[in-house]
Amino acid sequence: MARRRFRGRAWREARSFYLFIAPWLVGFVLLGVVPLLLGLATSLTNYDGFNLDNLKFRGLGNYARILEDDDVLYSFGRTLVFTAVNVPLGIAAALGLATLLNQTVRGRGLFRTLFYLPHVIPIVAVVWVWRIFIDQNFGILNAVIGLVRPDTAIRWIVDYPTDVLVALSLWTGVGGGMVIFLAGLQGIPNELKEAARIDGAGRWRVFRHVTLPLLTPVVFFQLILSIIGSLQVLVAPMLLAGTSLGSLPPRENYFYVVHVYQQVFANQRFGYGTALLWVLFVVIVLLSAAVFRSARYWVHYEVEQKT
Amino acid sequence: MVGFGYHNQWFDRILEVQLNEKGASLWAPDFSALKLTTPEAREALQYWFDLDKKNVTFNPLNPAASWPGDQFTKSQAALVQYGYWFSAMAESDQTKGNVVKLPSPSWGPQHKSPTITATGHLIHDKTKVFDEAWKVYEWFSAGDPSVERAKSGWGVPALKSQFKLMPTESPFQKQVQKVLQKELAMSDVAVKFNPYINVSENVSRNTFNSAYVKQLEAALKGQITVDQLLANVEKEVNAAIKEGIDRLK
Repeated sequence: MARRRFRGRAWREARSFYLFIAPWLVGFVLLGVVPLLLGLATSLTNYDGFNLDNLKFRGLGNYARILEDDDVLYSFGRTLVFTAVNVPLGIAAALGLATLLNQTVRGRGLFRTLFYLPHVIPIVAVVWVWRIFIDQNFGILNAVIGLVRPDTAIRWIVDYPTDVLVALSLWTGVGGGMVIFLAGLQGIPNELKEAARIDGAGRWRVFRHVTLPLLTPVVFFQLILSIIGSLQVLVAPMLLAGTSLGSLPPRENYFYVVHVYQQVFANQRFGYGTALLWVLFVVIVLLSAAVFRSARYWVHYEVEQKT
Repeated sequence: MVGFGYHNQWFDRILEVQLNEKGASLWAPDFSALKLTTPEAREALQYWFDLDKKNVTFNPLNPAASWPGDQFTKSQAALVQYGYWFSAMAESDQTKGNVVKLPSPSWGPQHKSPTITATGHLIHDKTKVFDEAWKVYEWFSAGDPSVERAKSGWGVPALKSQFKLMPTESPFQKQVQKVLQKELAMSDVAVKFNPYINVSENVSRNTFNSAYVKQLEAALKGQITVDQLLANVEKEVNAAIKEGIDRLK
């Protein structure tokens, strides 16, 4: 009798569980799994966006082509360089800002809002403003530098394209990271910091040995998201590009997904483009797995984790 | 700041018109290949490359802050290559009274002034609502919206009956009309577009223009010669043409 009651309750719990996760599950299947599988199927064909009536099976031909495409290796190398610079800088800047704005200072709310604001501005507007800001001839940046160094005409987009992109990414991304770090910082019990201070620890030692270890789950979360975002960078370098809207980025900003965009939209190689995206997907999965694997050595959870 | 701004989204068609004026073309007669190493193509591309190299025009190493038309109206570009439609916006607060419409440039003995871009509509041949679609088409292309467009000066009307509606009040509009009438006499020719590749007006989606811009940056930096630029573009575009043909087989 008791057993049957227990089974009934377990079934009701399971039903509730599946009902609650159903909206996400349906969305994940329709917007995640199905497009992924369609992409995989497309990557095995010569699909060009129109030729559904004349589709040909290419097998692994599109994947073999990747090995012969010089731009793949080049663009992937540039993407790794951007990721290697953008990820640590972004996390450090967001953590630094969050730490500063976690102090009780006057105007804290205003500063938090100001730093978060760029994060909610659409990227198209951000890049347009930046283009005007850093323009060689009429940009405010060169005008300001010109106050101390007359006739300054630095070609920011031409000579420092990746640096500009990193700065732009920081400007837009740091606010979002800051908010998450702030939430993490506010979750750290004051008693722990006070105990450390009573034991004689200075500000830096409290941060290094109490705050930072307890923030590592947030750092881990930010790290994963930043790596994925940086490996997929596309819109900002495209919009930041040279001579007109829809132009090509300078060679230094010719990133992996820019190359994919080129293959799909300039050359109508939807099949090859999706093959390239599947390779990127596998790379992201492997990198994420490596970061997850490393987490056991540096991420500290307040509760014991089952491995 | 530049002396001359051309719309690089239209580079493929500008180049094709140039070559047509010399009786040549970018494309093989059956569109199966791009022909950039002919003397005519080489000469035309060298002209553009020299403009880029001397920074007379916007290029990957001398980018525009926005688009040439915008920079012209801000008095940041002296000369821009646009058709009649641009006369509707050429006179800004900064340029008013100082703008003049020049006749189209000529590259060869057969001066041509075709439409290289336009607004149009397609009705799918398998549509089940052809009559309704046609009514919308008629209304938009010959009804009130088209009258408004003709009066505004944003583009030459598609209907000759609406030519008289084009604005001619200001001295600039009158001058534009004089130039336009002569251009119209040379406009009854069509530009050839290769049907096997993408000819989008967005550089990064246009097979020829994107390949050209990519190689142009390397050539302007001295990493490749002009001949290598032409050979690389030809190779890249011809591979895309071959695939385009293959997809239709």
